[in-house]
Parts: sequence; structure tokens; C-alpha cells
Amino acid sequence: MDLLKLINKELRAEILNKEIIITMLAFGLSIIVIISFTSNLSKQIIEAYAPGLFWLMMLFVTVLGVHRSYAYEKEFNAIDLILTTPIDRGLIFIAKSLSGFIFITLMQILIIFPYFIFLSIDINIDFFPLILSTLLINLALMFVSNLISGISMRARISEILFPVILFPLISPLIIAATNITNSIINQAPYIEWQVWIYLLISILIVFGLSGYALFDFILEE
Amino acid sequence: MFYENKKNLYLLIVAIILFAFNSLNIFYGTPMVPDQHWAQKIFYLHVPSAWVGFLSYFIAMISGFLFLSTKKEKWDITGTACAEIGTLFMSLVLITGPIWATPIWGKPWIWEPRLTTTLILFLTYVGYFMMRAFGGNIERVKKTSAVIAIIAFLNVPIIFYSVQFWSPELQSHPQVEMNQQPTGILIPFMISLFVFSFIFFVMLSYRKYVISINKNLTNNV
Amino acid sequence: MLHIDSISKTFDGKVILDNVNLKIGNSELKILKGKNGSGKTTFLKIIASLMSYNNGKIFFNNIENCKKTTLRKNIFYLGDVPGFYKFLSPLQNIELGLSLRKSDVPKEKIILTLKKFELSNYINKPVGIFSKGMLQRLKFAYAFLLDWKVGLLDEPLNGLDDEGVKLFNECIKIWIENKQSVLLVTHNTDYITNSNYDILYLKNKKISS
Repeated sequence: MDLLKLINKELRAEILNKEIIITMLAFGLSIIVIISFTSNLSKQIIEAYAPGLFWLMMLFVTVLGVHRSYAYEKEFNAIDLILTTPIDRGLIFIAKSLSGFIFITLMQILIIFPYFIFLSIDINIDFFPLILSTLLINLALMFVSNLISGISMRARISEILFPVILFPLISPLIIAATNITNSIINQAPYIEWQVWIYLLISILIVFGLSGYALFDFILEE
Repeated sequence: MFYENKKNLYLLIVAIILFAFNSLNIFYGTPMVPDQHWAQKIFYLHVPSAWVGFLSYFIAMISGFLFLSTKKEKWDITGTACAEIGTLFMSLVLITGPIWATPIWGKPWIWEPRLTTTLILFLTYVGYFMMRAFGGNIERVKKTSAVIAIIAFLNVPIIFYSVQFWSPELQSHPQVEMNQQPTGILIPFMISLFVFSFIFFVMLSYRKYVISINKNLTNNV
Repeated sequence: MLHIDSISKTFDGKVILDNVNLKIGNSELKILKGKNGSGKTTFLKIIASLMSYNNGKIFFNNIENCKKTTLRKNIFYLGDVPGFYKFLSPLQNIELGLSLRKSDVPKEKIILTLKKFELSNYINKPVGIFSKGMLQRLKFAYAFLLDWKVGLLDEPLNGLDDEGVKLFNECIKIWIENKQSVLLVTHNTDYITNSNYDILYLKNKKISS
């Protein structure tokens, strides 16, 4: 399986470099501290905005992590090693998305406790739908950001173009993510927020398929 | 020269006459809507601008597909021209929207789904133009901008529904169903729609011409 | 074996290659010369189907419109950039490339080849610390282990010492004996010991012999 080999390469790169998860974690922690300062630790404000702040933080963290995961492909033109092989290039997109999904999920597991503690949020809810929906959102986050990162990868100022193109395109996902998490925390019945799940699934399908189909063109010189 | 071709010159003259007629018709030939007074007139410009903007971005997406599959220079030129004209008309939408909303809704911007979709699409195209301007290697930039044009338009329904669900209380659109409008409004509106589409095609052919001579000029120096 | 039929490439409307034709049979060594910026690398990348082209056809084994993946499997492009992951060792880099090409080469053979190219002390060191000449040797070791039909080598002699050049010539000899063909871009033909080669020139957007 080519896909497994490519994912294996991504994971090995991360185990050797430890760049992506550590960057994401350090950046995430500093954002939490800044959020605490800017919200004046008002409990009402934070509890109302906690899901939105969380996904905002995840968006910034994703930009750093995904950008890094494409930056090392450019060093030594290393990606040529993969591009000269007869693999389906759409798989590069899938492999990068899935490995990015693993990294961001690991990072969330590490950061969720400081997030609750520093922002002093009390939480007492059903964790199963929360975890499941968060995993789906993580995957969607990775599909969108990997597609855009692939687009901007070889551009001259990729570090700027990547977020500038990404943020408008990803805004529906951020709206959906905030609403899903908010509804689950407020224990709203599923019927009220199922529309967001449909939206999330359509984002997964649209960006997953277009990333898979377009990556061949994006990576061709 | 572009206008030495008599056909183009006639088209330009017809476009100017149509535009003048349309403006006069909007001012003097349409009935006053009692509760909106003069503000309602902007609707004859706002909606056709939005229509042309979306049409233009739609053609940009089709050109993107055709450019990626055929690699023909003309599709890149068409795509760029459509992106530019589309952004021009989208700016008109974003300017006329708040002008209408200020007296009617009491504030210039409430996150109305159609306007918000326009705004997000506009921001995506800001990224598109940044990619074209600062992307570096021009052949690669052509492919990446074609991909951006494609995903920007595929994202339209996702943006629209996410904004609609996000603020359901804002579903009251300024425009009621068009076929329920009295003919006094409907006919001038349809005329305006036609005139704007006509002007769009005249602009498109001229812009395509300018982009292609620009290219020839830089290549022959 | 490989037939390039009137390939054209424009770069933002500017013609780089204009109806270029080329035939490569079995066991051939061809050397492509041309000025800087005449489009040699572009040409190689098009043959290796790493770059798109505007017009023309590529026949492989008399089959028109081969799948890109077939071309990428049988035509190997060795660029003038390293093309290896900095943090992986030579062994890991080669294993990754080989496994994605689905060629089963036992680990012992890879190690043996790396020894042959005098990289045995660095088998487990990251490629990031390699010098230019060592990277060049590693590229040859990689090319040596693959089972391509046509090899496109872009400036392979850059940064090689005398011994490296000797190894390079040995490789060429073995490849030609194996019915593999090599298209070489280089400015200096003095180093090539195999005397049986054609020289092609890329001039005015066309190839002439």
C-alpha cells in the first residue's frame, strides 16, 4: 500500500524531527496565555466563547503545523524523491492529511487540560459525541489546509499566501466547528445541530475529493 | 488595435447607450416603493452586479478546469480576466449592499448570508491575486490560481449555508421572490440584468485582449 | 524504445521548445549539450513526465499516450538538486524510493551498493550532513538500484572527485550492457570514457545532432 508507506514516512519524519507537534503545542500554549490576558479572566465571557476560542487556536496551530510539514519537502527538493516514483499523487495529499490529523489530535490531547485549567472552565458533559465530532473536524481542518498548503507550497512567499488563501476558504468549517462544540457543551439535542454535521460532512467530501483530484496538477511543474 | 475591429467598436457603443438608458430608466422609469423610497433604486444595480460577479467567478472556475486539462494559454487569460472583472463587480456588491442597508436595516452590515458569501469569495480572490502577483514561477502560478478559482467556487454553497445556519434570524432577504414583484419593478430589473450581462461580455473581451498583448509585449522585449 | 514526437513547451507564452523530436533505442548513450537556459532541464523533466507540455506526443515502446505512472516507472530523472530527505539516512531514503517504485531489493544489496559508492560509513547518518560530492554518489547509488529503461541525468558530474567520475563511468558501462539507455546533460564530455556516444545540441529551441 503506497498510502501506508507515505504515512509511515510522515510519521517517521515527525519522530525524527519532532518539529510539528512541538511547534503546535508551544504555539497553542502561548495562545491560551494570551487569551487569558485579553479576556480578563471573566468567567462568563470565557465560558460563552470557549469553543470558538478553541477552534481559533486550532486554526492558528494548524497553519503552523501544516506549513512546517510542507517546508521540509522543499529542503533539498526532497519531494522529488516521491514525485519521480510512479505513485498516484493524490495519495500524497491523503497521507499528509491523515498524518496531520494524527499530529493535531495528539496535540489536542496534550493541550486540552491546560486549556481548561488556565481558562478555569468547568466541564461536565457527555464526552463521546464531543470526541467524535472533534475528530471529524480535525480531519476536515487537515483536508482544507493541506489542499491550500499544497497550492502555496512552492510559491515565493508561501508562509504569507498560505494563511491569506486559507482563512476565507476555511471560515465555513470554523463556523460549523464552533457551533457543534458549543451545542454539545450546552447539551443541546442533536436535532438542533445536525445541520452542522451535514455541513461538516459536505466539507469533508468536497475538499477531500478535490484535494485528491487536484494534487496531481498542483505538484506537476 | 482592439477598436479598429468594427465589431468591437459597435459593441462598445451599444454598451454605452444601453448603460445610459438603463440608468435613466432606473431613475425615472421605475415606481417608488413606499417604505423604501430612493434606497430601493440601488437594488437595480446591486442584484445585477452580484449576478455578473458570480457569473464571472463561475466562468473563472470553468476556465480553471479547462486550463488544467488542456494547458492552453487562452484559458488562463480567460480565467484571469474573469477573476478581475468578477472582483470588480463583487466590490460593487459590497459597496452597494451597505448603502442600501444603512437606511433600511439601520446599520450598514448585518451578516446577511448572500452578502457574507460575497465577502468571503471576495477575500478568497484577494488571495488569488496575491498568488498571481507574488507567487514566483509564472507557469506554476497559473496552475495554482486555476485551482484556487475552482475551489473558491465549489466553496460557495458551503459558505452560503454555513452563514445562513449561523444566524438564522437574518434570513430576511432584501429581495422577495422576483416573480412576485409587480411588472413595474420586474421589467426594469430584467432590463438592468441584461444590460449588466452585456457590459460584462464587452469588458471580458477587451480585458482578454489587453492581457494577451501585455504578455506578448513582455515576451518580445 | 522512447520516441519524443514534436514536443513544444511555452513558458508564459514564450516558446522554450519548438517541435522537438528525439528517439532513444536500447543501450544508447546520448549527450545533450546546450547553453545555460536553453531548456535542457525543461526537456528532461517533460520526458520524465514531471512537467507538462503544450503540444506533441511521447511514445514509449510504440504506445502513444502512456499513463504518466508508466512513464515515471520506466524513465528515471536524476535532477541536479539533491532530492533526498535531510533527516533520513541514505538507507532510509533509498528504501522509501524503492518501495514506492514497488521494486523489491534486499537490504543487503542496498548496503553493498552504498559500500561500492564508498558511503558505507554514512549508512545511518542523516543525509543533511552530506557534502555535494557525497550526495552525487548517493544519487548514483539510488539510480543503480532502480530498474528503469531510460535514465535522464542532469549535470551528474557536478561536485564529483576523480574516483566518483570513475564510478560514474562504471555505472554507465553496466547500464548500457543491461540494455538501459542514458540521456546525459553535461558541458564536459572529457570525463566520459565510454567512446560510443552521440552528441545532441539543444539550440534555437530545437535539437540537432
